[in-house]
Amino acid sequence: MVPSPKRGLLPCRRWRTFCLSASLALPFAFAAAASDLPVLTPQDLRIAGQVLHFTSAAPTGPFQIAVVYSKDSASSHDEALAAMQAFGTGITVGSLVLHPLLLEEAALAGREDYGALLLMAGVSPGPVRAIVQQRHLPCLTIHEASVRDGTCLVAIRSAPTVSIVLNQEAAELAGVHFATAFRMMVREL
Amino acid sequence: MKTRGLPLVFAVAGILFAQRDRARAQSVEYGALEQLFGEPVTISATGKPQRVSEVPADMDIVTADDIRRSGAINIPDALRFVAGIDVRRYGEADAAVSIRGNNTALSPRVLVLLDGRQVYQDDYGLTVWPLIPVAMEDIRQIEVIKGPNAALYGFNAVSGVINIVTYDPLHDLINAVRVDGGTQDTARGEATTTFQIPGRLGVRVSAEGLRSREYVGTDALSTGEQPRVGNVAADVRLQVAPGIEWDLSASLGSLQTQTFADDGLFIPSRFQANSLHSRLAAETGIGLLQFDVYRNENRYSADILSDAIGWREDVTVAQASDLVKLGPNHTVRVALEYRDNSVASLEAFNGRLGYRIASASAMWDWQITPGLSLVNAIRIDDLQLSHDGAQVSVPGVTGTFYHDASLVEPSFNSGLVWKASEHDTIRLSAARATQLPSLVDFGFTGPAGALIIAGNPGLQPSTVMNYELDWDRTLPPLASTVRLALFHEDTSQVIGSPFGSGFTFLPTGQILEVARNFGDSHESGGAIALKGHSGEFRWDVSYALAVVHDDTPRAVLQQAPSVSLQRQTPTHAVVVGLGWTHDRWEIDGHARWQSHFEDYRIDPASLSTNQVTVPNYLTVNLRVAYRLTDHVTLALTAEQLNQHRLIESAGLRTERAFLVSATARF
Repeated sequence: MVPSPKRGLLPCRRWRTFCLSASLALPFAFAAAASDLPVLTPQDLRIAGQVLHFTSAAPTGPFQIAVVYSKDSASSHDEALAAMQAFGTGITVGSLVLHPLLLEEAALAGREDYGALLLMAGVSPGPVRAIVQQRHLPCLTIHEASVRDGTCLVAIRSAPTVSIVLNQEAAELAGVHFATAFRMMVREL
Repeated sequence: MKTRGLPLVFAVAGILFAQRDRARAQSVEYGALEQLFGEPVTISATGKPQRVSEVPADMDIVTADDIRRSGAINIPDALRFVAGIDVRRYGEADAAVSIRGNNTALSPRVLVLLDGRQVYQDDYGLTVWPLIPVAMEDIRQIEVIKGPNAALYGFNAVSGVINIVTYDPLHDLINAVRVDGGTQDTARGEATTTFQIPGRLGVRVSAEGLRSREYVGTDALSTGEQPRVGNVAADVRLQVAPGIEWDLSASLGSLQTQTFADDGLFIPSRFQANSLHSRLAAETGIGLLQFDVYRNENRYSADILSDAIGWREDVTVAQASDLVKLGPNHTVRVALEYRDNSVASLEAFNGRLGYRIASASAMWDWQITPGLSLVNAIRIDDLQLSHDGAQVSVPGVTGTFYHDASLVEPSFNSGLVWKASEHDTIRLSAARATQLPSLVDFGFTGPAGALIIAGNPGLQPSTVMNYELDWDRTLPPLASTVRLALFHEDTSQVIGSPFGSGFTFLPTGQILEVARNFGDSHESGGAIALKGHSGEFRWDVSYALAVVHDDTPRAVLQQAPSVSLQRQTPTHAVVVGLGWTHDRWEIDGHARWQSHFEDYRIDPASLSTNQVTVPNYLTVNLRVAYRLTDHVTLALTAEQLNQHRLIESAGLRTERAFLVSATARF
């Protein structure tokens, strides 16, 4: 059973049809307006699920991952909506079924119904880092800078070849342990 | 009672395992890592898990899909179309497989492993391929390392290493039945089944059997022995605790066939091979600890020139290793190994002959920059040879024939891997490896008719130095990858077995054959291979070059052709493959052309060695498969479609074969 958000955090909660239509159009809008920004693809999300498999508390079954964005950044918001679209009704990776939970950064602390973070661009590092360390949560992103500065733990990229960057120091601070074999196959900072 | 007892067992097992914590990812979980990185993963190159595109070696991985699409019913046939591999068939169930040329009837220079357990037999220095206890459906991938890799594996990883990796019963649910039938009266079947308590326990049991008719009508030396193969294997993997996994595997196998030995004769042979392997792997704060203990029992019996001989080889190996990441840029592996290997036979070894090897090794992988890494590995092997039993008298040998011997041999592998761009990877490597004389080479003794055959406890190992430059480039417009490999290799003191070192005619009228070292041999060569896939199509093209020069004078090699690596190596080999999948259909074809080489056989009447020229040949294989249902596939495989009979070696002429296969996977 997948826990659902308890309260709406976006206008989309009220105007689903509008938001859905807007979401479907988003990739095309991105392509025209912000083609230089990396966009999460379903393949990135599958890789995110596979990375979670190599944590010491590897999740199985339905699992909620927070898609964290900044309301102050349009590109962050757009990236989050694109990620939600890429998730569709959920991404299945082996025995894990990833469900997204769209959360504005300020709402992170007030929610507990997620087991990992998927960090968008433009999110303030401090609160995210605090949540990751307090709750021992894996944090993944496609923005390597967020991993370099220790906000997030793992940067993923699926194209042109799979690339994974791990901030082991940040992972240790967060108490998130990755399998040794996994650590040996990724680039550690 | 039976129906009530079984559920009780499962219920107890369920309670036991349900009380444990949720399983954590295993130490090296091939399937999950392969899915994550989108390419095969291996630990065979350095002992560290790596993407195949990042290993510091020229390595090919034959995947389960490749094997299925080849239609092969044995491993040599699955390797036949890999660039740089030479598969030479002497009979229906007798093949020699070498890497980068230097093939001989026994091919002692390639170390072969099954899930890390050595299936290469040290008694005679060969791999008896049909005796490897694995069903084709059980194989996840066959890893082929071209070039020496002794710093990880020790002796005999000289021309390369072939590691057969099976599915993990803890994580991979494999249930399959396959039957094959066709020409040469071939009847073959294999079945494999897996039982799992998810995340806790996996048990796989598999069996295979083959009966066939030997190629006929081409060689008077054929003994008429018909191939019969039977193997049974079980693999139990248990998640003992989070991060701790125990693997216990066992196998029984038997083979009856004629084998072409390095004396140039067919021998009616019977093999039995039993094994037991225990592995404990633990993910700890000090890295991945792994403890392996295995035992191989190989029994061999044969009739040589009307004399029955046989022996039993016992190999016990204990290994301990720790693989640890030190900081973000350094990975270190340290390992210790102890090996006890002996053969026992009154008629062949006058007692028991064996050696003990103590080894220590270390590997250091340094990620210098994100795009540049350096791997260095060293290993020291200390061997003590001894004999229990009565002495024998061998003409020309003064003093005692059997004597203790001691060898200390270092080996190393060094490799620099530079990711020059997103599409280019360049590797530069150097390695030293040692080929150990087999136990037959060290101390076989026995008369066979007028022959006196003797090993040589004073034989020296043969060392190999290898230098290599490789370049991989991805070609996105062609959806392909191209690899260029160039190498040079120096082999010292080539080893000749007692059966392959030539004859000495004694004044007594007897003929003496004694194992000995010969001169050096040098090889230069390379390969260029392109492989890709797009949509419904897949393709591969490769060209391999091997130029060998033996220092041993031709006149000497005339009498000992088994050590003439130059004559026995085809200089050129070209492989072309094309495959297509559409809806329920799968069609794959492969062609291989190779240039001529010289093999040899013995005329039993005159005991003279006759050179046999194996001319240039082209062979074409084709497989057409149709997926009848989601679970059942029918396939027709044609081997050597273009020729009815083919000379591949000094053995029997191979015949065109058609095989019909039905495979059910569920």
